[in-house]
Amino acid sequence: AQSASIAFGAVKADPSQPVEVTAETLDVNQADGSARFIGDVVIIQGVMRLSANDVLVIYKQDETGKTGVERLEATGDVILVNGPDAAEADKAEYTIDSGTVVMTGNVLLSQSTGTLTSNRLVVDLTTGTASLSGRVKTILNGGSD
Amino acid sequence: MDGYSRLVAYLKVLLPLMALALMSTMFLISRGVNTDAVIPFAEQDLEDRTRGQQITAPFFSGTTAQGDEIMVTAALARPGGADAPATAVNLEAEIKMTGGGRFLLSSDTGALRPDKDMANFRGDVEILSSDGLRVTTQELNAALNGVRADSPGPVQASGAMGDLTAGAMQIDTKTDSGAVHMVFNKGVKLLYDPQQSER
Repeated sequence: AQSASIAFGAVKADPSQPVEVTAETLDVNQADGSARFIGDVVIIQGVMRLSANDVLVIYKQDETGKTGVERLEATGDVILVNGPDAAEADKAEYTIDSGTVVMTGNVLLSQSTGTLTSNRLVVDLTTGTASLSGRVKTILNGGSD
Repeated sequence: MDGYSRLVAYLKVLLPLMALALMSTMFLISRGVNTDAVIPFAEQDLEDRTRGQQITAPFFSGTTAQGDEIMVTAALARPGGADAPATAVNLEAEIKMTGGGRFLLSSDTGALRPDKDMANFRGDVEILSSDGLRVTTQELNAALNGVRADSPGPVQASGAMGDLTAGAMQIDTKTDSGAVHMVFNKGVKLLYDPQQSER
C-alpha cells in the first residue's frame, strides 16, 4: 500500500491549547468512569475542528486515578477541518498531547489541489503534515488553477 | 522548770490556737460558691424552639431493591403540614451503589417526601461522584427507592476531563441491573486544558 505525505492545514497547531467539546448529551458511566459525547459533537482546538456523531473520552490514568484526557475516539461521519483542508472518515482518534489524528474507514481528503481517498489517514497537527496509506487514490481536478 | 521547758509549755498551747484561728478564717474569708449554674440559652433560641417542632440531626436511610444504600442526614428538619413537605437545612446524602462507586450529595436546604420516595435538594447542590466528577447545580430531585436523580436546571461540573456546563442532568441506571449513568443533556459544553493535567 503506497503512502503519500502532504501538507495539511495552513498553520502548525499547538497541542497545549485548550480543547473545547460541545455536544447534545454527555453520558458518564459510573461503573467504569468512561464518558461519551453523543449527538453532533464538535471538538475545537485552535483552528482545528473535528465533528462527529459520537465521541468517547479515554482518560490518562495513573495510580492516583484519572489525571487528564489521553485521546478522543470519534465515530460516525467524522469531519476534520484544519485551515483550508478537510478530511472525512468513518472513525477518528485524536491524541491530544501528541496532536495526531488517525482517521480510518473510507477516508476522503479534500484540498484545493485535489481530493484523495484512502483507508487510513494520519494527520500530525503540530507539523501540519498528513500521510495517507492503504489504497490511496487521487482525483486531480482537471483544468482548475 | 527552766526557761526552755516554760517556752515549750507556752508553745504547746499557743500553736494549736493559731492553727484553729487559721482554719476558721479560711472558710470565712473565701469567696462564696455560686451554686445556681446558668443554663446557656439565648432568648432567641428559646423562641425558635417553642415556635414550631423541629428535629435536630435527623437521619433517613434505606436500601433499594438492587441493594444500593441511600443515607440522608440534615442539620435540622421541620415537619411539613398537609400540603407543605417536611423541610430540612444543610441536607447531606450518600448513595453507595452495589456495583461500587459512590455519590455524595449536599445542599443548603431540602425537602423530604418519604410518601413519594423523593428527596428534593435546593440551593448550592453539590454532587461528588466516586470517579472524581464534582457537579454543582441549584436544584436536584433524588429518588429514595432507587439510584435516580435529576437536575432540571443548568448544571456545572468539573473533573479529570475538564470543566463542563449543561442544561440539565440525570442520574439513572440504564439497564435494571446495569451500571449507573450520569447523563448531561440540553447542550453540553466542555473545556479541557491540557496544561492543567500536565502539572
